[in-house]
Amino acid sequence: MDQVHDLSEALPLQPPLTYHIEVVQNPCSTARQGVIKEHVRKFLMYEATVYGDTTFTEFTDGFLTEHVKSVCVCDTELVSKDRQSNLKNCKLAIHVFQLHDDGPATEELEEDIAAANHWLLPSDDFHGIWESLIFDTDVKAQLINYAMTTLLFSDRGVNSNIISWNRVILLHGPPGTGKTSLCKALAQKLSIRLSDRYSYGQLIEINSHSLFSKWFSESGKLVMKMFQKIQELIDDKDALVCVLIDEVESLTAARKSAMQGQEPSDAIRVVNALLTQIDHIKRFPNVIILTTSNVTGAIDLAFVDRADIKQYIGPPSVNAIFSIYHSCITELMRAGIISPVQQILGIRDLEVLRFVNNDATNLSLELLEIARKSHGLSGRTLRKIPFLAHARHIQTSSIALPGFLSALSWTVDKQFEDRENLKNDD
Amino acid sequence: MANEVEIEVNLNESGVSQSMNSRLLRGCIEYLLYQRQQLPIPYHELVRIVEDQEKLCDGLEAGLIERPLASRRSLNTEYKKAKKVYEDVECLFDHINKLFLSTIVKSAMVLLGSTPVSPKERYFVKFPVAKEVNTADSSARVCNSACRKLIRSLISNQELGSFKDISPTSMLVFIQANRSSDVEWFRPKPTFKPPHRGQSCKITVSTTSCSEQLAVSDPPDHSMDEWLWFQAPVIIRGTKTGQESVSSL
Repeated sequence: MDQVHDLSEALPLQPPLTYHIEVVQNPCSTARQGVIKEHVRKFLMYEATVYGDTTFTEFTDGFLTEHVKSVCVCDTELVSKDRQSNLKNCKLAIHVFQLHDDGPATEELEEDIAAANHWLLPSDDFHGIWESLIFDTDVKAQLINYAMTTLLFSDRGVNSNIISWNRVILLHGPPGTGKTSLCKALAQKLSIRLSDRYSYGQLIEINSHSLFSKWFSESGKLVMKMFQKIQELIDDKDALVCVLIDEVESLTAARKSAMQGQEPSDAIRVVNALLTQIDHIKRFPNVIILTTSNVTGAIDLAFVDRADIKQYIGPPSVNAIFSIYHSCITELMRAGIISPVQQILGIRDLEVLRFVNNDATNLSLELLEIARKSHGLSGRTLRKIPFLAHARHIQTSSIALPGFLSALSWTVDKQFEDRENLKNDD
Repeated sequence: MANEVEIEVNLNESGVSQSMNSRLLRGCIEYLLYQRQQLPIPYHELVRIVEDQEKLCDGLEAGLIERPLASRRSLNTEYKKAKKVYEDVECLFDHINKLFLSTIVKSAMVLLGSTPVSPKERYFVKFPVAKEVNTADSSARVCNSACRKLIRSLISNQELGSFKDISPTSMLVFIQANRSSDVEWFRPKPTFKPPHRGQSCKITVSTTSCSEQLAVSDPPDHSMDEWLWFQAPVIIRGTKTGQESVSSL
């Protein structure tokens, strides 16, 4: 054993891992961030080890109780594959923030045209979305790293004529897989992670349809006006601006097909205006454009080419479905709808136990079976299945876990049946 | 940034009290609501209408008065909007009063626009420094006369009058107070800084007694960090409801 120890010491030192700690400060607290950071650091050193993502809401330290709502050690799986994280040997990046609870404000271009929704980040509306999104591949890590590289390149003044990047992310895939949610969550996450650098973040969600004017040839100008507004926000160097264009195909319809005459030439002007505007704002270091689409075939090639990351977001795999159900059941237990509280093992624990069926694992394995059966359903559908299960089969204020699982199973069958019926209608 | 309009008002009052500052801020908000097209009628008119209406409704509920059906519909949408403004403003005023009684407020900012970072107009009001919170309260008469003086100088200012008309939008109110002070209801916004967009107006209120003092005892810069902006958690949403329809109620 000693030899192994010696060997590991002889190996080149690994740089210490960095764990990100998100601290939500109470909305009424006026304490300084530096002071809170110190207290949180002490608190975590005392806790020392965490398993997976952990959120603390109760503290022995009176100061923390007064000023802090929650301390969350998050995205541990993005840092290391090890479930157990020892915080003592790691670097801690502590981010303290207060949530804005104003909700969205509308930005108007002209009289009564609500062209965009505007959030100040970090916003209460998006709190917790990031954690609720479960993907198989490391999409989340990729997106964060992309943003970090973008920032680094801008900071070091890399000549964008030699190495070019466009600050555009395109997420595409079937409906209900969490593209839009991921965009919003990413904006929130970046505004938290970069809070040392930018004092606040903003998310502007453009209503694509409102940029089409009833006047011929005016649409292109509306796009210009929209981007002028965005430009004004970018001019504040202290703000991180995320622009979200949902269903981007409506703004960047392929010009080729438009030329064949089915579309008015106004639509072409919109695409042209958007492309030139994107080229224009990519010079600024504090902006990121997030776009989503269901129909990639309909997007103009010039736009697709500008996107730095073209990420496909597919329907969840069995493991991801299991995690989604797992989080749903945990939430229902928290609300007291499933009681008594029984433990459901995570997918990794099941792997460790080699999927052996015994008293401790049989419910977890049953859930895994349901997850297998649900393969092919979208994330949005999966998140509502526990709700439908309760509405269709249970309707009591609390139920035991086995009963809930069978209701869940019936509901999944029903979903596939409904889907068949819809297809047969055609 | 468009050039800032600066207005200086000297109140010629001997003492400064927090209650006077509070009255000034409320007067300023009332003025902005009507003069900057956020309300179709002056605020005191709105108060009168809503209060009359409430009395009428009480009467209706008691079954004392018959009300024609036709006017009910207008009552539903337009009146509700007006009443919402009334309730929000009253709530805000109430808390402003409490705030000024409990702590020293250095300055206030009223923003018109959808978000704090993208306002169309901003009004910055700098109050005279009261020596301590509990200076003897000025009488209502003195407060009202000070408020009238402020409004008069706002109305008679040429540049302020030349501001472009704006459509109804949101009104956000910020106040600047000490970090350690005991501020309730208002939410601390440590990251807020006065925006540089839109039209801007700076109103400096001074009194004879403090104008000399101020030059000497202006707080040194290192304590700037101690002053925080706090945002009022209500947003007053302007309404365009036609003047005729509201006043016909």
